[in-house]
Order: sequence, then structure tokens, then C-alpha cells
Amino acid sequence: MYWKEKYKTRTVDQYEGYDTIYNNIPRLDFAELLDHMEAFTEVHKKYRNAHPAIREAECFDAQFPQMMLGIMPNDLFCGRADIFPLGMNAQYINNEWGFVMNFEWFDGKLEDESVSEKDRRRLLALREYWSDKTSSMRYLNEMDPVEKEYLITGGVGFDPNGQPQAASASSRVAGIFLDYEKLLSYGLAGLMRLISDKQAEHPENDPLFYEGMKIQLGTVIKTLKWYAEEAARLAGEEENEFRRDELLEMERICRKLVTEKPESFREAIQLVIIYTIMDGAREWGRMDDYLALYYKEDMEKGQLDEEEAIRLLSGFWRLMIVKEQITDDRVIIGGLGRKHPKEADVLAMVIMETSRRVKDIVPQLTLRMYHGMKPELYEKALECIGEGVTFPMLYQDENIIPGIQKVFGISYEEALDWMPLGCGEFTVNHRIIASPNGVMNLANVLWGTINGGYDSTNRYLLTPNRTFLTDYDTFEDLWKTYCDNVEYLVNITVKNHSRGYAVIAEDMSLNLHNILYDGCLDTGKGVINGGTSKCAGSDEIYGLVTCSDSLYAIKKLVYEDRVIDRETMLAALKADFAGYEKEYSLMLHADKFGNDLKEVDEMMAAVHEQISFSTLALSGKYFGLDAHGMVNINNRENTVRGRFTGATPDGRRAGESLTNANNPTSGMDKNGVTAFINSLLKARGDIHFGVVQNMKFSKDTFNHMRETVIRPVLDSYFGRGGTQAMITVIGREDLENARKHPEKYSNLIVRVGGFSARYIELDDDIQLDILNRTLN
Amino acid sequence: MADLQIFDLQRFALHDGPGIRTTIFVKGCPLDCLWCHNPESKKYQTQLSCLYKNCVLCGRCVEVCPESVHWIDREGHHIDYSRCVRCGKCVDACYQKALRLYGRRYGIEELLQIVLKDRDFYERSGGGITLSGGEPMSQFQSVKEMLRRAKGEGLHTCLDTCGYAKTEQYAEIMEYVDLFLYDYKITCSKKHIEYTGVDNALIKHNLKFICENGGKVFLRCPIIPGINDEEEHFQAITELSVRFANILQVNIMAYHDMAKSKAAQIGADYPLARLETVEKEQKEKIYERLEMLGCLRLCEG
Repeated sequence: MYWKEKYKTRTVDQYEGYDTIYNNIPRLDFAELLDHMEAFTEVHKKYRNAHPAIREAECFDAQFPQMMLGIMPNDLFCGRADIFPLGMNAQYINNEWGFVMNFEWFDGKLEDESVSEKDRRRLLALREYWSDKTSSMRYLNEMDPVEKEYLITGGVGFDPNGQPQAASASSRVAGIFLDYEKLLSYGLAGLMRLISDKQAEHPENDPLFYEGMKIQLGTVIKTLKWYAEEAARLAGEEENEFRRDELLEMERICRKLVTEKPESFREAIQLVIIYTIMDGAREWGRMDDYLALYYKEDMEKGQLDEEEAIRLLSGFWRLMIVKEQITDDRVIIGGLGRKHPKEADVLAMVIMETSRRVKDIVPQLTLRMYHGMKPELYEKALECIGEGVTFPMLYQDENIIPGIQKVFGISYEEALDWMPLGCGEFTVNHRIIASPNGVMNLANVLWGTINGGYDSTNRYLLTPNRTFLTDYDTFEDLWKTYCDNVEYLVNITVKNHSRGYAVIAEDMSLNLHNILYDGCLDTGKGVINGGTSKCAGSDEIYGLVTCSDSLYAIKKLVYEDRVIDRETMLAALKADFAGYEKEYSLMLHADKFGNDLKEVDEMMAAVHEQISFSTLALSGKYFGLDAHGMVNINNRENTVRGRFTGATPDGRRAGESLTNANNPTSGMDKNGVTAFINSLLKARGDIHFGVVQNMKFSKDTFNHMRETVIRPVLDSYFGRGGTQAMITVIGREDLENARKHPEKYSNLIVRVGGFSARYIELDDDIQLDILNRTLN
Repeated sequence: MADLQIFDLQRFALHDGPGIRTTIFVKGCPLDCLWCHNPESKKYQTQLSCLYKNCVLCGRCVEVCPESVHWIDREGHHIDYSRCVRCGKCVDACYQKALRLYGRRYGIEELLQIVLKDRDFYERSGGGITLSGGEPMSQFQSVKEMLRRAKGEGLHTCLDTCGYAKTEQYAEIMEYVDLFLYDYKITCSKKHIEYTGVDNALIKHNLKFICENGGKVFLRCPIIPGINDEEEHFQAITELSVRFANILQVNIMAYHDMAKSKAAQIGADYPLARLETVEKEQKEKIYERLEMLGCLRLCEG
């Protein structure tokens, strides 16, 4: 039993055939875990009324190194962490941060008959103590009851397996980008001295704020020593000479980092890993830049060659992979504003080659492109993408930086250090936290708007209006209510985002973040407590195009062409189109975004602008959110939220996925890539905190027409303001899936000899024929 | 203003000339090639088509059709295409989108506005507009106007033609065509008549005329096993490539059988039902033979 398995996103089987070893060996058995959790709880009780920095530091010290996992047979670096059913973290686990208890795990154990009566009493005592003290429980219990109906319960009761919502607000922080340059140049001992110096420099600040950081750094040092012992022990048992040397090297590095700053590429990586894993941060910053000089100097000294660097980075990547935080682990390369651009470019090539060889879903390698970038980097990026790696993701600095300046309200120089976090939300490297804590499902905002404020089942409260589709005599009436609903919901998500920060700030100071975020050491305040120059947040948007295509269908079919009346439209949607084949066909075949068609694309742009401006308008209204905006990004949530969204007027059936980011509905962009890109470019790129675009190309086109087609397409996109592209190069599996789900592949064109056909329009035997020919 | 009767418009077309293009497929063709892979392009008139596998036998088409074109029995949905008057009522009634009409008239200006949407892509890729078909020369005045307007906008233009039109018309249209995608199907005159319905003398003459008067040509040669994969034809292709420097590329278009299902959708017979697609290896052999013969500027089609 591995305690983290409660949180798993992959299974051990998925590591078969990979170099990465899934560590499912727990360090603590159940009895030890129970002892540990009690000890941790005692520390919390002892420091309950202490300064948050001290409480945090002492609790942190109570959970390390117990939470660290052992060194696995092919590990090159130390730094694997478990997740316990009770603990504290400074970013999030399952969308919770601060003091966290996995109540589900506890309830399971309490019902487990193999657990002794005595242990059950102990578990129960822990559960009772924490039931009102975890940060998320405090956040939920203190929420305004009316806001809670919209954001959490839908007015019914909280269903942990999910329920319809138009908006929700979680308590967490995402996208911590630490100052690795600072970490590496000072080392742990140097940081300890720096904190003391800053404390002396600022007698006006609370000394406990600094004291907490020092205690916490001490725990990092303690953990490094523990890893050194582990490495030494394993080396003593190791028969393979090569591996023994490797373990001894790991021991040496861990011991060195206790007192000295890193001086080699490998030492630098080890320090970055241990600090990040213990901090809880999930992003890895501008790696090509902060490791550039270590790489260069090691190469010059002859201590490192490119293959060895790739081997080390592969070991680094493997530790990211086993964390299973697949929506994080950003490694950023390239871009304006690097300190060592020339040296960093060299390392960026090595980093891309590492990802090409490892070929996994993390790190989310990100290339920031800019005018004047070395062409080799772009070449290499296209080579990796063409092999189906899907990385690096491409971002165009010149199209992003002006928007960053505007939405964050910062200077050009500050904006140069913008970073895409997680799924693509913008933030500023170790300067501004911009966490996406609110979520909006625009398709359900529309449902509330047309259904008296309720979802398609009439059970869950979504929006504050009490009007129905039948009440709107004009489309403008409907649009106004929709906009009012968005504004209402955005406001309560932002308000609760701010309140969530206040809850956490009472619980902990975020010591390790504070050390490596600009401003905190001087202001004597934490990162979400006024310590940095600014603090920001965002609302994640789902189903934007589902919503805009639906609004367009209503406008066109109900109000303009009058081919469906209002009662029938609502009835058809509630019935999930059963018995309404004609209406279904009309809705499904109404124009869709992504085909370079004026009116429907304009509707998308209007929905995009409305949500963008509604969120921007709240900048500075609530404490801790000096800048606020919307992000329309890309993860699995569009599918999850779709399950709780009734049928929509764009012809989407109940429960199906919502659209992903600002991409067209799957398979509904039928006019080719150029039309798709023209549509994308109609949505403004300078009024949000991140929007992502997925593009798919066939392997044949991407690799054999790279110069004649792919480069011109990408040049046109980025040349006309495109901010970002995530490129998938598709192959055989698409043809297979197209046969199973033809409705999603109407844009799949097959090319054989001199003409094209839409694959799904071909007869079965011919499809099979092409599939077979393509495959062999 | 002239109109064009077209059966398809494809943006992001990558195989109809250089770069990224928009291809307009003009409806109607004077030839009747046995292997034609776009059987819906042959007739000038609009045509009813049915994707039978989408049909759920709901019977709405039967109800709305004034000419009794459709009927449904135990064996399925039947269509008497010859009785269809192209009113489109059944297409509107078909919620499954199994029925459609091939052929729609567009104004030149309307088409041009669609084409111009991708101007930036053309400029960056060396692409442009292609008029294909069917046979674009069969709607000569409109096609010429379309090309003239496109040239006026500074676009690169391709004309995909079978060569069977009056020489004077080629002379007239040449100034608006940057590149001819010129089909060369069968060398033997008799066989040409047998398999395409027309003699090839005019086609050969027009090719010579275009090449000698400054036209740029990609010679596109469909190779149909058992019909034209023979020495005489390969030699003729080779000779053309040697004789005319203005043939910038010789493209081999190996036969494939995807037209089978397309023909069934419009109720047409497909005489080559048993002929199978030319596989990669066979195609490579064709290339080798042509190279051996000394064919110049041979390129993947």
C-alpha cells in the first residue's frame, strides 16, 4: 500500500516498458503512519496559537523526511515524495492546500474491519480534531450560505462525485515559480544567512516571520542529510560498481548541499529538485537559463558531455513523471529577458532532445519564441513535435508581452519574465502569483439563463435569474441576462478566492515560497499576504465555444429564422433531443465556430470579450487579487464538467464534453486549418490571462510538407497575433477512432494519390482499405 | 456578373499546385473517363446524392418528393435519380444529412471573397487559387473572369484542365494562369476515344500551344492499370518532358478506387469496379520505368 495511491492519476502498469520506476513501496506501514499522523497533530495542537510562520515550520518539520520516499534503482537524484492522508502543503493536493485531511480515506479505514478497535478510536480522534481545522473545511464552513449554493451545493447538498454548477471556487494556489537563480547562487546555507541579514535590516518586521523560514530551511537540510544516509546505505549494499559510484555521488552531493552552494550541473539540479519537492511547487521555471552556466562550465572543464547531460536530465524528468501531476511540471525554455541567452540556447537544445527521447506527458516543455530567436531552436522544436512528442508547446513572446503588461498592470521589463503555468495560465516568474481558483462553466450559465436559474434537471441552482427562454422577447434580452449572470458569478468566485487566501494566511506563512519570491524578505509579509509587489488570480473558463455556438443557434434559429419556437427549443433540450429529431438536426447543423464564418465567429468573440472584461473589472476589488482575469485553457475538466451539463443548443447531447479551450467543437471545423486559424485569431489575445489553442496535423503533412505548408501556417498564425499553439501530429489511431466515432472526425481528410475525400463519407470497406494501407 | 456552377470548394488544399491553396471544383466535364474519381463532377447540372449508410429509413424524403424519386421497401431506400428535378425538398427534409445536392451556383465576387480570406497563407507559402473540376474550361467565361479577378488581387493561379477546349480559349485565358495542371491521359488516339469519349488530337495540340506560348505546365498523368500503363504511353510522356522545357514537372497520379463509393452515391455505374488501387511498390516501378526511359522533371504527384 502506497499512501499516495489515493491520489493517483496513472497506475503502476502504465510504467511498464519505461525507464521510470513507479515507487509503490511505502516507507511507513499503517501503524507507523498512524503514529506519524498523531505526532503531526500534536505539533499542530502545540503551535495552534503560534505565529503562522512558526506553526507552519514546526508542522513542516514534523512531516519531513517521513514523507519522502526511498531512492529507486535507477534514480540519479534524491527527491520522491509520498502524500499522506493527513498533512500540510503549500500548493495543493486534490485542489486543497494548507492543512489537508483525506476524509474519504479516514472513513474507509473506519469502516475497515481489519483495523483494530483501538486504531479505529485513534483514527476517529484524528478525524474529529481535524474535521473543522483543515484549511478547506474552514474555507467551506465560513462561506456565505447564498454563495455556497451557487459555488458548492447547487442548493441541494454537496455531492463529492460532482454535480451541475455554473461556477465554483476552490481553495488552493497554483503556479508557484520559485527563484531558482537565487536558490542556486546562495545555496541553502547562504539563504539562511540572507534571511538573518534581511531580518537585521528590517527591525520593523516581525522576527517570527524570519524565524519560521529558518526553521523550515533547517528541515530541508535535515532531509538532505537523511537522503545522504540513504544513498550511503544503498551504496554499501550495491554490488554493481557503476551503480555504487552513482549512489556515492548522490551521497556526496546531498552532503555538500547542506553547507555549500552547488557548483556543477548535477549539484544544481539536485538542489532544485529537493527544494521544489519539499516546497510543494509544481513548476520548474526558466530551466535553460538558470542551469545554463553550470552546463557551460562543466562542459568547458570536461566534466560533462552532452550525452551525460541528457542522462542526468532524463533522471530529472523521471522524478517529474512519478509525481503524476500531469497538468503541471512546466519547464520553460527560450524567450526574451533571460540572463544568459547565449548559453541558455545551447542548453535548450539539450533539454528538447531529452524530452524527445523520454517522450512522456511531463515535463510540459514550453518554448517561448521571439523575433531573432536562433533558428536551430525552432527547427529542433518542429522535429520533436513531428515525432508525435507534442512538446514543446510554442508561445510567441511579442504577441503575449503587451497583454501581460496590460492585464497585470506591470512594466515591459517585468512582463519579460511572464510564465505559462499548469495548463497555460499566465503568471510572472517568482514575482506575482496568479492562481486560477474560480471555475466557470459557461454552458451551464446559459442553462441557468434559459431555465429559471436551474440546470437541465431543474434540481440544481446555477444562476440568480428566475426567467426562462420563453420570457425573452428578443435575443438582446437573453444576452443581457446571460451577461448579468456571468458578472454575478465572477464576483462571488473572486470574493471567495480572496477569502481563501485569508484563511490560508491565518494557517501558514508559506515560508519556502516567501524565501524565493521577490519582495517578501523586505516587506516581512508572505506571498499571498501583501509580500510581493502584486498578487493576482483568475477564473478558468470551460465550454466557451459550446456556449457561443449555442447562443448563435438560439439567435439564428429562434429569433432570426424563427424555425424553432422558444417553448420547443427548451423542451427539446430538456428531452436531450429525444422526439425532436428535426430540431436536433437544425441545431446540430447550424453554423459553428472555427470555419471562418463571420456571424458565428463574432458570437464567439463577443462571449470571449464579455467574460474577459467581466473578470478584468474585478482587479483590485478584493484583497490579494490586485489583478484578475480569465483563462480559457485546456485540461480534462471540459469533459468532467460536460457530464453535468444538459443538452445544449449547438446540438451537443447531455453529458458530452464541452468544448476545449477556445477550440471549435471537435470535428465541427470543416473548412480546413486556414479557416480554423482565421477563426481563432478573431478572439482578442490581449485581454486575458491565457488561452490555449490545439492544432492537429497528420504526420504526413507535418513531416513531409514542413517547409511548404507547416511553417507558412504557423508563421501566418503567429505573424497575425497568435499567442500559443499546442500541436498534435496524428497518425493511424485517428483513422481507427474515426471509424468508431465518425461524428467527431468530419474534418479528417484522407489523401490518396491525387484527390481527397472526407474519410467518414467513404463506405466501410473503403475506410478499412485506407486504414490498412496507411498502417502497413 | 457571371456565376460559376461548382460542386465543392476546398480551403487548405495542398495538392493542387504549389503551397497552400483554395481549390474551386467546377461542375461539368466534356470527357467521360472510365476511371474518373469525381463522378459527381461530370454533369453540369445539379445532382442528388445519397450517403446510404446515414439513412435511417425515416421516409420523410418519400413524403415530400413531388416526383416519386424515393421509395422505401424491405431492401432499403431506393432512388430513381433519372426522375429527380433537383428541387431540394428531400434534402431539406433529411435530418440525417444523408441526402445532398451536388452543384451550387456562386457569384464570382462571392467566391473571390472566400478565396481572399486565406491570402496571408498563400503569400507565405507561395500558394493561391486553383480552378479544378470537372473541367473548368467548360464554364469558360466565368472561369476566365474568376482567374482575371484573382490575378487582379495578385494571387497565384492554377488551372487544372484536361486540355479539351478550343485553342483560342486557352490563348485567351493564358495571361491569367500562372500554372497549368494539364492532364495527359492516353497517348493512343483510338484508346483515348474508347476510355474518355473524345479524341486526343486537340488535347495534344493545346499542350503544345500552351508550352510554346510561355505557359507553365505540370503534366499530370493518371496511370490506370490495364488501360494506359504501357510502353508507348510512357515513352510519349518522356518525349513531352524532353520536348517542352515549360513542362516544369511530370506528376504520376496512380489509380485508386475511392470513386467506387462516390459513384454509388449518385446512382452512377462504375465500370472499373474490379480494379484495385495501385500500391506503393507498383507506383515505384512506374517511376523507375519512366526514369529509365529518360523522363525529365519527374515529381511526386
